[in-house]
Amino acid sequence: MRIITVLLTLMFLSNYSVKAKEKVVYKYKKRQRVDLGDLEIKGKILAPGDITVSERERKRFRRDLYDRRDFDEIIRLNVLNMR
Amino acid sequence: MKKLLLIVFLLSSIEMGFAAKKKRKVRRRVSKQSRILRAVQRNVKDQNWNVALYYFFAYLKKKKTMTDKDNKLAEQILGKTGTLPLYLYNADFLNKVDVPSVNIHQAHFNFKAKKYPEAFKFASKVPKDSSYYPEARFVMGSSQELQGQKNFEDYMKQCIKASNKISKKIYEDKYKRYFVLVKEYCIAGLARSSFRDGKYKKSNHYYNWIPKTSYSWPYILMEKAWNHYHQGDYNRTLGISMTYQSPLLESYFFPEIEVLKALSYFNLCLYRDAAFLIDKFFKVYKERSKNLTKVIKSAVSDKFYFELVYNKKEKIKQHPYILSLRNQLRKKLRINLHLLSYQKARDEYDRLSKNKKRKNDMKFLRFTLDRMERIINKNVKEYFYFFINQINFFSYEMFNIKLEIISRRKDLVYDNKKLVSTRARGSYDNVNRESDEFFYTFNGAFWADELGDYSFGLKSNCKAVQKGSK
Repeated sequence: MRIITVLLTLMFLSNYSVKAKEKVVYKYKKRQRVDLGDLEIKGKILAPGDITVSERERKRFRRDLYDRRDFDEIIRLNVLNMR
Repeated sequence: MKKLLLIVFLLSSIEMGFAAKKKRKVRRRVSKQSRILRAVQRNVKDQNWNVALYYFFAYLKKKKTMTDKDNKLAEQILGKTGTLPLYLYNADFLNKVDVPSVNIHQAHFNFKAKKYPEAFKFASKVPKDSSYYPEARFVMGSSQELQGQKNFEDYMKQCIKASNKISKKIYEDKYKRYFVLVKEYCIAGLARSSFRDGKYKKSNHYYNWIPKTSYSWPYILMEKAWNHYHQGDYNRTLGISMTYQSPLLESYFFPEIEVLKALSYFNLCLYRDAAFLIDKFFKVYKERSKNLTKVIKSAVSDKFYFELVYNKKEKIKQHPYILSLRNQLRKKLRINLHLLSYQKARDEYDRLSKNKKRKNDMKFLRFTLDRMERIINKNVKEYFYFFINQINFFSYEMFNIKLEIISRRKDLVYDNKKLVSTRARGSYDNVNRESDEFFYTFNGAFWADELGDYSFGLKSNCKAVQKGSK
């Protein structure tokens, strides 16, 4: 039993000492440059070369103005006005 | 054997005892009924019609069926009270009273609740020889028309025929006027049906049956104007609309006619005239709306509206416009009939108050008067709310027309165009008339026989030309 625990602690310590030796240095990029002209895209160009705005007809709004198609409420009022 | 005889004797004596008790009960019931009937007859003799009606219905409550004598008595009493007191009684109870006055009341009651099949059923029970027959046919025709049934025209024609026949036999002016009014409503029913079907000439032909001296003529005039509008005869529409500016029709409340005028000018592309009319409408009706709102807000009491129509004109302190509306309302048949029934009940109450022994009858009459006042109050209040709602509704429509005019003018600006003229002038060439239509030149005065026959002679301004062109 004692031998096993000693072996285990030795293994742990050796592992730890190996890890403690590694030193990692992180460095961040301060500037990044992307050259769009240098990018290569494969495909067909469908859009026209010039940007154009085509003329369209002006939208004319028309309101629904009042119109009477029947006298139903007046028929009802006539009966109610009797009694 | 002796025991058997004793048992039979005991059983028969018990049975005789029950039969005697039953007879006594029947005798007591009959005597209470006869007391109630005597009370009815006594009040009929003293002309206390509302009290008689109360006792009569109490008498009927115990009866399973009505006899011919009961029917005649009911008609006699209801002929004097009118149908307003029937609102005090339960509708389910009234269903079993098969008498023309009650049937017409039930028809109206159901019509008001939009139960058109029930209204039709009650109105159809009114017999041909009754004075309510034309009105019943009118209610039947209207119920069918509002349900979209096609056979309503038959009922309207029956109503016209019956009203004509009865009115010829009557000499009393007010009573005759009632039948004439019913006849005119039925004629208008036929005209309105033609309007709905798009047969505007036929519709106008029916409207021309109604004379200018009639009470319903000012209301029919607006409907005629709509017929001309739909036929594209805007000049005649404007002419009819102008009739409402005459002093005779000044007090009539028709914001819709202003909208029709504006629409006519708009359709003739006379935008300036239409815009002027719309501005005038807002100025005039803003003031009227303010007065109406003031009246409605000041109506704190339960019977404010009743007192407005019942009290004499001199006692009422209101704006002249409100007084003119009040006068219009008093001419309505319903208000007239209700005020008449109320006055009769009031006179009965004043007469009975001198007799201190009739405390129960007095209590009933006080209740009756109170209910009648509330019913009349509610009816008048409905009219006032109708007026103010009409103003709000047509103000919105007028504003809509104004926006459309601005839109059309904007279109002209964008298209770099203008209308052919800024202001149209009248010409006889633009006046259209049928063989039964008249035409009068207006020389600054409204003549009674010319009213309703005016026509403008404006040419349509709807041609657009390029700006800068001649």
